[in-house]
Amino acid sequence: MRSLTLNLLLAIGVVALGLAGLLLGETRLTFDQFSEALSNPGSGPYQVVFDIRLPRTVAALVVGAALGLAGAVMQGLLRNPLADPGVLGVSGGAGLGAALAISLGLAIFPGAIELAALGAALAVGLVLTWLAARFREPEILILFGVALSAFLGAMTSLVFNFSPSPVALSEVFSWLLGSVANRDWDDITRQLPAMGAGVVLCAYAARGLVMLTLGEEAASMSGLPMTRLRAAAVAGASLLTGASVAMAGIVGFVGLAAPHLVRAVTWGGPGRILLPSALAGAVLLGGADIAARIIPTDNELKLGVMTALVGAPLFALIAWRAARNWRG
Amino acid sequence: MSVLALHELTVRRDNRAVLDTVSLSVTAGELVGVVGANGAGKTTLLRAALGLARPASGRAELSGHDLCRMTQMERARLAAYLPQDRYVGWNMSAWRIAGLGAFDRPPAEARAVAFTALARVGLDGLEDRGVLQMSGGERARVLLARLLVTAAPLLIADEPTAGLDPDAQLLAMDLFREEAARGAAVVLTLHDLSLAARYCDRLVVLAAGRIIADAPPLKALSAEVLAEAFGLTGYMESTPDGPSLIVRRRIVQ
Repeated sequence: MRSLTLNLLLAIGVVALGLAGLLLGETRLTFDQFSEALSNPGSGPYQVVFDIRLPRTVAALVVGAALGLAGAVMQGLLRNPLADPGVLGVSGGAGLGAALAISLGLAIFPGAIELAALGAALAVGLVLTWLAARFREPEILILFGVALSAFLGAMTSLVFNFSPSPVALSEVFSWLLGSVANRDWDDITRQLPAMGAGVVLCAYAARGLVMLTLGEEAASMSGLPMTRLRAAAVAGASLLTGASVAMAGIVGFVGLAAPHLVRAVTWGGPGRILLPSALAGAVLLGGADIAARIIPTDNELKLGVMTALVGAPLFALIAWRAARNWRG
Repeated sequence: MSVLALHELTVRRDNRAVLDTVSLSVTAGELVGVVGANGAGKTTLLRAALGLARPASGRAELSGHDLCRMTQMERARLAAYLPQDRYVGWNMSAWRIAGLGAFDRPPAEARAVAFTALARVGLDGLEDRGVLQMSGGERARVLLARLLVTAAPLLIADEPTAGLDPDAQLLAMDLFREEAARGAAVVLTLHDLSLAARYCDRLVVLAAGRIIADAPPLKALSAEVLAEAFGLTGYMESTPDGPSLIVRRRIVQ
């Protein structure tokens, strides 16, 4: 499929899911109620559509796009189809920051959990950016990332271990499962600067990702400032992931699956799949959020659970197809 | 003036000199072959010449400029490199891979020079095919096209004929000769001594990290040098089609 056609179809999908996100939810609204929502600000239907559903839908689409983009950048940088935004430990760092903030009782301050999550993600991102500038071999970066993820996971478990109250424990656990329910515009706008910076850095790094297709040595001889571009890719993906975790908790699979979904219908270098991966990520998470809303359960399904439940079989199917292609 | 000059360059790995006080000069229009047994230091020599391997002592110059003081872009304008491994990370079309040699030119121009280079390596009609859907030999030719697209004053290729069929090997060497004829300095590592002797103006023979011969092919590949560098008894024979290596036997220590 041509890039333009794919981007257009995915953009239509994003818009359609955005509209569906306004129309669908736990509370069923009639046509008249929708008319009232559009014509009467302050009315009940208006609050449901514009104060609850709209920010929630935007949060799902924005987080999905950020994770899809971060996943495509990570796979391009590490030249590894198994890479995703969590592989280097950024999600783990953000999770630890949030867990610490909740267990220390900082949740009473608005935005404190998100700030802790973003701050911790940025700290991990800084370490990774330094490592990316220091070591050019992707394998070394992956090994450091695995070690960092394991360490941060253990620290989060330690927080669980020493959590003073079962309530805080449950709150941490719930947060880590990922959700965009009850997000308001403040929750979104607080993360937009970090996400914007992440997008700019990823766009800047795109040329380097394409050149890395030839391998480290050929890329370093190309004339591009590869050390700077590699660092920009890691910093950009870290910012996007950190801000996403701060907005919606830990949502797995989107960053891994979105670039693969794109590659299943088109092919090309890492530069060409950045935009469609972001759009595919938005479609995946937008769809998962709507599914979580309308599936009738006592407790609403968490977004992280939903993406793993739907994403894992889908991903296995893609891997099955890819394996057949690899075997020829 | 030398396009490439190495001055007593030494590269160490694990306290062992893998390149030992090597001096070499290559001028514009020259096609120089670097030969030697496995592990003799051929790839290290090329990498050190490009600043990809850090020297313990000595220095390298590109077109009279100290390599250590160059920016990456300045270095790229003076030299282009084809590594030994034919790595391509993602399935991009042949012309896009070849076009990476001209990434700093306008897209239409990069596309045009990529198509021209692919035609030169015998891949016209396959420009839009994904490189991971090609055979190893075809992929090697795409990467060779990427090197040609750079049109750099110094072209360095590590075993560019490895894995190519005989016809493609001759084609590749003909292309390097053409590049030398346009004024480029070309440095290649090669394992086929007959091919090296037939095409190169000069051969640099490495043994255990040291240059033991640097001369026109028939002079460089003397019986003594063949014995020291390759552990072979043999000789180079002149034939109407060019020099050919006659191997008698291995020297068993």
